[in-house]
Amino acid sequence: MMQASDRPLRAVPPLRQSGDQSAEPSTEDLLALVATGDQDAFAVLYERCAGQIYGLVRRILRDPAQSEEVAQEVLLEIWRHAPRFDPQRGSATAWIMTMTHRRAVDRVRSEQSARDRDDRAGLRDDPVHGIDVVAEEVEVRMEHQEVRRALDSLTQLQRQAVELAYYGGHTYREVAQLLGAPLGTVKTRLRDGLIRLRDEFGQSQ
Amino acid sequence: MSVDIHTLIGAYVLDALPADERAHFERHLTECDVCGAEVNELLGVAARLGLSAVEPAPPSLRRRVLDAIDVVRPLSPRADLQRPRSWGRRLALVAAAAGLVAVGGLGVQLADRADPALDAAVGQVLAAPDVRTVVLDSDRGVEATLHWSPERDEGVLIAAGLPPPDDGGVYQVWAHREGEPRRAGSFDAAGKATVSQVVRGLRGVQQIAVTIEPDEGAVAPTGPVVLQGALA
Repeated sequence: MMQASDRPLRAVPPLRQSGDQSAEPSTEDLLALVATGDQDAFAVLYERCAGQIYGLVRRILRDPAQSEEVAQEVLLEIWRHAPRFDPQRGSATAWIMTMTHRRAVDRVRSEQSARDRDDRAGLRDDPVHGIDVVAEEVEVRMEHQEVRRALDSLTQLQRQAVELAYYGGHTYREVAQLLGAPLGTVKTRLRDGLIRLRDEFGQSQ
Repeated sequence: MSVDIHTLIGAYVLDALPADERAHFERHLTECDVCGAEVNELLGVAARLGLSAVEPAPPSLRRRVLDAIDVVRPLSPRADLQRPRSWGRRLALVAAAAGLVAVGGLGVQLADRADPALDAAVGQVLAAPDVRTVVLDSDRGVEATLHWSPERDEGVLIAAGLPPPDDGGVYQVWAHREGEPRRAGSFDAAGKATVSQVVRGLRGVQQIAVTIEPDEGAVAPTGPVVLQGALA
């Protein structure tokens, strides 16, 4: 039996690609092992990714108990679907965070639709207030300087639209309503905002 | 049309499309490599936004997830990855990361996992697109989760650390619909570190509970409540 250890786990740099020369296996390597049903590899993967998954779900859902449930759903989906991961289409971390975000947003829209509709009605009356709440929370809890810097490079409308959609779990139609902007404009800002972020991330690497 | 639909890339990547438009866009993705490439690239960008929200996961999550994977198998692996299962094997990889994680005890639990029918049922529930996870309350330190699919009308109860019931009793699952308890399966926990139990007929059920009953004939709960949780 292996020894339990209290030693904290090292955080893994975002989106590390396979082929790294470090001692730790890449997330891609771990997923390949998990795909064969390897529970030990999954346990290592868990230590690396659980906080990333739980953190993102909680950012979107807020409620800790619900967030834990959705995080558990995501982790089981990773276990079940690891054989279907295709490294040609992106990094393992991107695959995991994509599943995480999708499930969190789906939960927001199904579970809390009634409550959200009420909230949105409130926000419609006072759009500025709603935006401030989201923006403030994002600022306070933002851990990665790099992400903050990249978001700072966006125009105000790009940034608000991206944050309301990604961290707020809103549809682009809701974002348009919240910002009082035309639908077409919001669609475009979401896309060119992401492209701008991509360029910013590219420069900082 | 295709010019229009390209502009949805950002909203799609940020999961900001309503369900019908998402489905429409995904159909488009199957036939447009240009959009596909941009989507994959921008999903990597969105992931960076997601990583900045990292915070420690609650310790209870780990136990429940590792219990669940013990009774569920991954989908069929790609052919090039297929190799004989060797669950007891300790990987060189894990050895290299020694001290990273505690995996002791897994081997003991694995001995009782070979029930193909149960495995299939569990797999089907967990693979359902609408599967929901409900963490059940226990005042006895039992870690238990119900995974259920409203569409399939069935769920899987996974519990770790249930002691065998006293005096030959059984664990009885109850599904409460509008206050009326209905029997929804029973099990004993003898010799099992982790129990997994298929529960059917959950549609319209508000509450699920597990009690200890003297035998399998109970028509209403009489014994102590060991686990309970709200479904709706």
